[in-house]
Amino acid sequence: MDFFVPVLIMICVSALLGLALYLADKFLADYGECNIRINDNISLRVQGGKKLSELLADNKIFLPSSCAGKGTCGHCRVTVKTGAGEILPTEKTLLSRTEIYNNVRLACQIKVKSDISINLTQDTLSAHLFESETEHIRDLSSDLKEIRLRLIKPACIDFNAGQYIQLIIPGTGEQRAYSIVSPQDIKNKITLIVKFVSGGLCSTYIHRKLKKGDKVYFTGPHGSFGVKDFSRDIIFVAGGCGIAPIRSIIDALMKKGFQNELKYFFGARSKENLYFYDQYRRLAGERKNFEFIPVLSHPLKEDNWRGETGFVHEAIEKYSFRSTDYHVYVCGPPVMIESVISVLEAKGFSTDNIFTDNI
Amino acid sequence: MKLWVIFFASIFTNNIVLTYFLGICPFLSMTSEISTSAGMGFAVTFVMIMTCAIIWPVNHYLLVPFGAQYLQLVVYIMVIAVLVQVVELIIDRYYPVLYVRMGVFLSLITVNCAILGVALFMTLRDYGYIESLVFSAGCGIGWMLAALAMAGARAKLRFSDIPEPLRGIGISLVIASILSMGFMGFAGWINLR
Repeated sequence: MDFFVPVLIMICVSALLGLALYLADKFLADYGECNIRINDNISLRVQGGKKLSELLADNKIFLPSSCAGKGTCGHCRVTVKTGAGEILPTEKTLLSRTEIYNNVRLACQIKVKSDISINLTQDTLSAHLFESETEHIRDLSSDLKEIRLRLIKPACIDFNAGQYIQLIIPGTGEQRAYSIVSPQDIKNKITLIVKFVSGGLCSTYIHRKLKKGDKVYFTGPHGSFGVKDFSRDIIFVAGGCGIAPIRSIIDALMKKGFQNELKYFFGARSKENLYFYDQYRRLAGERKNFEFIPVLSHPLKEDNWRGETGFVHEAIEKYSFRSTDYHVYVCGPPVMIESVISVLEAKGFSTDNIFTDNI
Repeated sequence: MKLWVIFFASIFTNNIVLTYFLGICPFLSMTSEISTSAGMGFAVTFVMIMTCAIIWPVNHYLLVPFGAQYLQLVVYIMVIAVLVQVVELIIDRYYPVLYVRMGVFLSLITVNCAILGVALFMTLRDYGYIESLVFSAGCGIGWMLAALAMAGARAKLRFSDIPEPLRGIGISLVIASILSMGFMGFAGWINLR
């Protein structure tokens, strides 16, 4: 009998507390129906009390994100016109002063409590959720895999070379961004390259678990990295797997019959990491306007390397350019991007002509 | 015991944070701005009073008659957790700005040992219902007062030249110790033992 007393007491107390919470949730956390207005022409009726990013995803509008709404990646930027309340301390750390001034907010941090009016870019609105099947996996080097996904539903993707997709990691709800490597005229398949990052959620999944035939879900296309002006001479600078979007862009330019000058600086550790080296060497031989400058930071003895050595920004520093009128597209690790930008600035390039994409 | 003795003693000489070192975590982390520390102080006071108001009858009419005092700790913690959740919903709904400022620290009141400490002291000292309420209100106000004093001192620190190794949490702890000595100055006037 004594055994039942504490059990009964605990049940009573838990039941009362549960009831209290239920009532509080019902009466306090109920924000009723709210209206989300997008670009003043789309209107969504939603149940308030949830995060803006979740509500948009429920309505098939996919914002890029790689932290599952924890407010740490800062990718889900939206411009809010009215109805989002005061900016949160969590957002302030990721947004610049100008962005804060222009009412840019993080959709994963805004709780919709009343009618809200936001602006989204056309790119964001055209992103879809895709179901795909892994068709092919191969190793490009010891820590880099290339995967090819065949789209199932929808069966086609319309993207511009340089854009990326957000791969949804099964069972976590988290997403990671990968640039599309394949040419933009192939619409039923996409190719990605994934570098293994120790402890990385998505790269571990792709390198250790993903098999041929597995279903993969992703949203996209996202981003606006891509050639802005086809009438200009162009310099590409890629580091490591920063080749991904640039590969797709170069392919598109070649197919377009791009006639202007094109230089491609590619920084890697050793020859093993000079992905698609032969292909670009051959291309440089065939096309007069294309120059390929691979740079190795740590060439191995067996590489017999005779080309440029050092970091990619050092090679750029040594190089004498005909003018400073090029458009420069830089993709790679943030440190590399920073050094490249400062070298180019020192050479007289304007920052307005430098376009970057982090990996 | 006279109610005013309990009230003033729990604010000054038996201050929950400066004498018993309970609730130090939010005391250090929420006192960089006066407005935030005031908001946190109100939230802590409110949760403390509500906790005592609910826990006292639960203890006296449920746990004691059935001889189940050994469940005190777990029942108290559950009550506090639910209360904090409700307070969070209320603040989120009616004071969104305060909610934003408090951020995760609001939820952290759940594990604020000052609140559990007050509930356990109340039981240990065998206070009646009114005494418990007065005691919890005193402790809450005491916490808020200490936090406000701390925030005031830290606001001045921004313009002072502090030796490198002491910057940040180091100087805060030094201030806390001086504050606690100041509060102990009331010991001859009033005391709870």
